Amino acid sequence: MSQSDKTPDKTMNRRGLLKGAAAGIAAATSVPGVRAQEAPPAPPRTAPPPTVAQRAAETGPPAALEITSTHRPGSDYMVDVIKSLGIEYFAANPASTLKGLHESLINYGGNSAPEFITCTHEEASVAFGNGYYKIAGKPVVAGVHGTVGSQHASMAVYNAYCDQAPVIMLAGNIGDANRRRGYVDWLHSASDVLAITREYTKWDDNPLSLAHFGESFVRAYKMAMTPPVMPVALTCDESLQESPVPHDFDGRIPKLGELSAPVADPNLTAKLAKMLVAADNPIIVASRAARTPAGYAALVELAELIQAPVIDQHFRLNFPTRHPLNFSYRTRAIAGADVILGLEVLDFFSALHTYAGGSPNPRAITKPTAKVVSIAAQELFTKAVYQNYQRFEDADMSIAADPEATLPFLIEAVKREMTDDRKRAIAARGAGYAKAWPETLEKMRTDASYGWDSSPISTGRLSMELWGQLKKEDWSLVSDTVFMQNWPLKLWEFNNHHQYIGGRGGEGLGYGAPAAAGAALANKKAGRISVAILGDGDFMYCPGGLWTAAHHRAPLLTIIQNNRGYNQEVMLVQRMAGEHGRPHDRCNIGTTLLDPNLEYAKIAQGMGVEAEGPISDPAELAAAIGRGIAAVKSGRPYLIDAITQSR
Amino acid sequence: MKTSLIAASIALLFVALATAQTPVEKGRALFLKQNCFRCHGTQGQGTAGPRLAPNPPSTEALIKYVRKPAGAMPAYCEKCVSDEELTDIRAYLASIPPPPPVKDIPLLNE
Repeated sequence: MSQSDKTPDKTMNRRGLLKGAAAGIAAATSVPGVRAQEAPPAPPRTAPPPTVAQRAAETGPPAALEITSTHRPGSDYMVDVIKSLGIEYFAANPASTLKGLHESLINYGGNSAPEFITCTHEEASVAFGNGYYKIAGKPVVAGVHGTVGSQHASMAVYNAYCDQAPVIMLAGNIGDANRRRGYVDWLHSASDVLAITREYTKWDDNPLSLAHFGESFVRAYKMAMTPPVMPVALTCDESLQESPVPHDFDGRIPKLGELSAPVADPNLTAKLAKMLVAADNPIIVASRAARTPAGYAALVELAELIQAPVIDQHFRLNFPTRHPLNFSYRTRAIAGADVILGLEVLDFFSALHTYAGGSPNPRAITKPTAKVVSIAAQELFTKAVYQNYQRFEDADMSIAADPEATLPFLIEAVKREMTDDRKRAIAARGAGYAKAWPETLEKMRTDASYGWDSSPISTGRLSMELWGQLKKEDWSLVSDTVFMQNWPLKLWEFNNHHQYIGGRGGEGLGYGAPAAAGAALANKKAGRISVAILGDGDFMYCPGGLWTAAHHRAPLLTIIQNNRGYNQEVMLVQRMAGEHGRPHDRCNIGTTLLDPNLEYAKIAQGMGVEAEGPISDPAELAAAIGRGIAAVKSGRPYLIDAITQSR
Repeated sequence: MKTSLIAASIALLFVALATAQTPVEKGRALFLKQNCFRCHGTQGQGTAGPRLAPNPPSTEALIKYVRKPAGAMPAYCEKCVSDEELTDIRAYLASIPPPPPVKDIPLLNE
């Protein structure tokens, strides 16, 4: 992007750093005399089409710069701040409004901690951070370009917000109108660039000085990582990046102290412990309870202590899948419960009610006398516009606290309440659950056997062909399983928190491929391989995540669950046809991905990813998965296009 | 490369329907054409909707339910799918063999 002759300071700032690169560039120059000869006359204010020079400002090569200064740019200080927090990745699509920071990251910062992750869409940048957090437990910085970048990113920010996944979004902007060059700079700048994401971020700010940036960035990190963890956003003004660090600025980086999570009121914790110990049939519903492996271990300890079944709603892996107390697919048990404890359950109401037949009038499925208790950090942060907070649940106790931080105290309180009589009763209850478990597992296996040899491949068969080989590895499933009947969660043995990360928080498509790339790079540092089973519809929203995985050598095996369409929507349109007494055989219109068929192996190969398929014969799956795992173990991403049943 | 059922074009489904001879063949073609497989699987094994094979409901019960279903199942009026066609669909579902026992599928025992 050419430099304006109105911004001599900015030009000076970057000169020292761009000396080498500038030598070979023969484009418009910032030297005033030359620029005056090449630039077209200024367009009238009313002229709608941009001039050649205006378009070139965004689309052409950067202007050659005269290197006359060695001033340290503000963006170097920004890199110091980012590094101070141990941020590993800066995920972004390159942005003219972030060019100063970009250059500082790769040269001054050495492109290490943070490393620049090249994304092909801002939605992918944020989704990458969403997936990465759920393995690494810390945030990514996602850089986005002004108005258009924040608009592209907004869907993924909403997903992260609903998923309680912190991402620090940095939005480039040219706040000072006097610094904007023509046309595109105005299109891509805003007086309040973060307005679009404000209703689904925890906090945002518009720093006006470097000191302000440092303070706000550390504050942003602190707010993002304090439960309820959520995305935050800052603007990153172009002039702050590119202007010299002021002589009177000491470069101080604010201190991030140890962070804490909100713990439940001790009186309520004690009251809850009494209820749980005294209960005949307590049951636990966990959604995003386990933020870390510590939360997972604590939930297992509590459940075993009181022999309470756990319904894991699987927005994280909260509980081992083959534990006899795992009731995730025996949810009817909730009808017999006398105490129901929800742990960070986003939609507790729906867990306790049924909308049978799609009725808008829900019916309670619990006993009228059942006591309902919720512990949720989300109670501490609710906004107005977006209704993701769900229907109000008539809980007997709503404890606004972080479940993971509260569980150790609750466990101790339960131990204090325990008597020998209760221990005997609880042990007997547990023995009953242990006896029932083999039958439960056998039933799920039998269910998976139907259509075992079918073509298209059944999702049960696909899952088990994968499990047959994956179980020998150190693995992590970095996609959700909702649209494949949850077979992996029913039939695989998950016994580590990192083995499953849940899905897209806001149920917005486009999350799958980039989130898998982020999670896979986090898993790579732990020496483990990642597998993502992605629906074809979701994949096509943001396929560029696959290229990012290839470019950054993510050990990721992607399996496209290719049912050639948006299956849920086919069913919904059919339902409308049924209500209107009209034909069903036209409901493929607008809901399928046929004619032409998408060739996902070719798409992957075009992005530098080894791939094979489409595979519609289940007998061919095992060999393909073997090749895929071998490639991934050697550090190369791999894709298999599997033609499957609808779900 | 094998062509999947789902990948088959709508035109081919019509051809299959036109060339189907037996009730089972006609029923299978209708099961695909009417999008029944989307919820119940191409072998009636159940996906989003319940399992229908290998022991489908009686023809009478099937027709009655399809005309006035409960839950999320869309209704099919008689001009959309005739009783005769539903009888063929039922014949197809009844022709589907049961799966092998779980104990004979090693992958389901791991």
